[in-house]
Amino acid sequence: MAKKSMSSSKRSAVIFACLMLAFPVLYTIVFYFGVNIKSWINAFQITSRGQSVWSLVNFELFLTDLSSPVGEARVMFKNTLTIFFWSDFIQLPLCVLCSYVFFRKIRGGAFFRVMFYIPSVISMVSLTLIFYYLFDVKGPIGELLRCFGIEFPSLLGSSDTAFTTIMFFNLLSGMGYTVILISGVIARLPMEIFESARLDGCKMWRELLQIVLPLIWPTISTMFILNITNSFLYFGPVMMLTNGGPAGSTMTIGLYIYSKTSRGEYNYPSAIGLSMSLIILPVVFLLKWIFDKISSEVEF
Amino acid sequence: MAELERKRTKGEKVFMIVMFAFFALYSFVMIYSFFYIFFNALKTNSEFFEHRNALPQAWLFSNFIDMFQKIEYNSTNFSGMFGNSILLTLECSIAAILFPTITAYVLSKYKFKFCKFLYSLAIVIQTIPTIGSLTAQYQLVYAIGINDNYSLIWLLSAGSLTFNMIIIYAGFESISWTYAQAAQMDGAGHFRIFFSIMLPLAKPFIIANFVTTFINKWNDYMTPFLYMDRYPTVALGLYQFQQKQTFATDMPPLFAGIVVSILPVLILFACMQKSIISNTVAGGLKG
Repeated sequence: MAKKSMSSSKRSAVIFACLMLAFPVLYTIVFYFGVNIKSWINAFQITSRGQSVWSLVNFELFLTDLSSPVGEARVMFKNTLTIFFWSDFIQLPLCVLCSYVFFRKIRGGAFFRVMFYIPSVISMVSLTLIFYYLFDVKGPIGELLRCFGIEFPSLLGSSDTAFTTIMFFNLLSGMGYTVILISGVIARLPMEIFESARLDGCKMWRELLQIVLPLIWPTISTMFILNITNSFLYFGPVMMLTNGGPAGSTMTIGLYIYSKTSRGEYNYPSAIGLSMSLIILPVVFLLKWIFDKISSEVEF
Repeated sequence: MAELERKRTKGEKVFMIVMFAFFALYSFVMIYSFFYIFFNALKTNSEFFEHRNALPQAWLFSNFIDMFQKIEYNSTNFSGMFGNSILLTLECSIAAILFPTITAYVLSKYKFKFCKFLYSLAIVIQTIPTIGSLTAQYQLVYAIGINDNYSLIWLLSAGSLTFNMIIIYAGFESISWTYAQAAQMDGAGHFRIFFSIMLPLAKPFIIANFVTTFINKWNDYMTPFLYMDRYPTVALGLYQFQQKQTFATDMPPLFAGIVVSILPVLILFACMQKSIISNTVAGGLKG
């Protein structure tokens, strides 16, 4: 009888497992649980001159800032929600569409696959620098438009357009990896379904919406949920393209936490992070439950 | 299937043409950007200012040599940064594969209750959002003294209940235990089975995973920005150099730096293309 794993009765097996798992377990306790417990402690304390006292001031401050129409917190929160909107309602559907196009064997598919993947292997610093110079007022796009007499504004320098430009950067640089991932999932779907559907004269849009989408739903819904958390952690491109400017209009929660942390302020950013986590946690679980209900109706 | 592909309606044909144009535009932007940076790296500084978007006049390939000295931050020049990048990337990617591999193997082949618990814990950890923990991590790093310390910085990547572990676990699950069973009958011990039998069988997906992890660590900017300021990597160095150039005294070296920082990854990608893309595709199962 073939066994799938080591028999659990042997004492030597237990010793081996404990030995190998000792460091991982210890590490997780320190670097995950320890860090998160300290995070909670940070949030409920305020520190001045090296002394920490317990206080709820951080949360009061955050609430006041959120309710103030000119508060930093409101801009941060709005921008973070914008990130979520772009990544889940613009980028994700676009990625599904592009993956489907790869599946329907677009001409030059192999070449385009490589092109899509390349941004994800290039460092964020390089990508932002390239984007910055490409879309600069004096850059090639600006010059091209000036040939037609169109004035090209400083996209990253104006508080109206700065954040949307950053979102566009995200789209350009972030789509590739997701497209390749989803097209892999689609490629693994059983071809018989598509064969019979197409023999019945199924059109592309129907195939996409009524066959592909339900079948890849587990993957898509997981991405949807992960994007929520990632919106709150997001800070890299914002920091490198505008660093929160102009006039604080592109500040995000992730960037705020990062900048306060590197300046030695630990309490307020921890409180913000904790509040956000507590708000998102039930949302994530609710969405997970809803999505699982939907996908349990699909079996193949 | 091929005939079914050809019987497209007019609307579908138009759609595919539009998508093709979109893909072509995207690819064009990629390729153009690369050459834009490359050509600007070959200009003199005044040439850059006057004719930013034109082809270079003086093809200063010497810029590629000069920039190793010119790009400088925290008394580290570009070659120093490159060395730092390699050291950091190697350390962190080895740690990020080693510990998850060991953990994934044990969790997959030693199905104790505790092991099943650990695997579920890994999945839960991936899902739960912990947004403010950067601050506490920062404090921990400085308290232990991991920062600015190349002998300890790998600790940050040494986590075992990570996404990598989940992927490698799936790989081990697909490896049959019968090989090990046979070895066991011949009296092989646990370590022997792991190193001589299971690891070699796992080589394909571990290597694919390692390449992806290596690229991710090479491109990681957070760790150097936060913790390795005194010994900057290429990413940190380029960023700080650009920041210093607000009154733009010497831009072409920056572009040369970008080209050199991208080239190794592009070459690695070109060689390991199939492996990398298939690893991403495999991740889709758990993604």
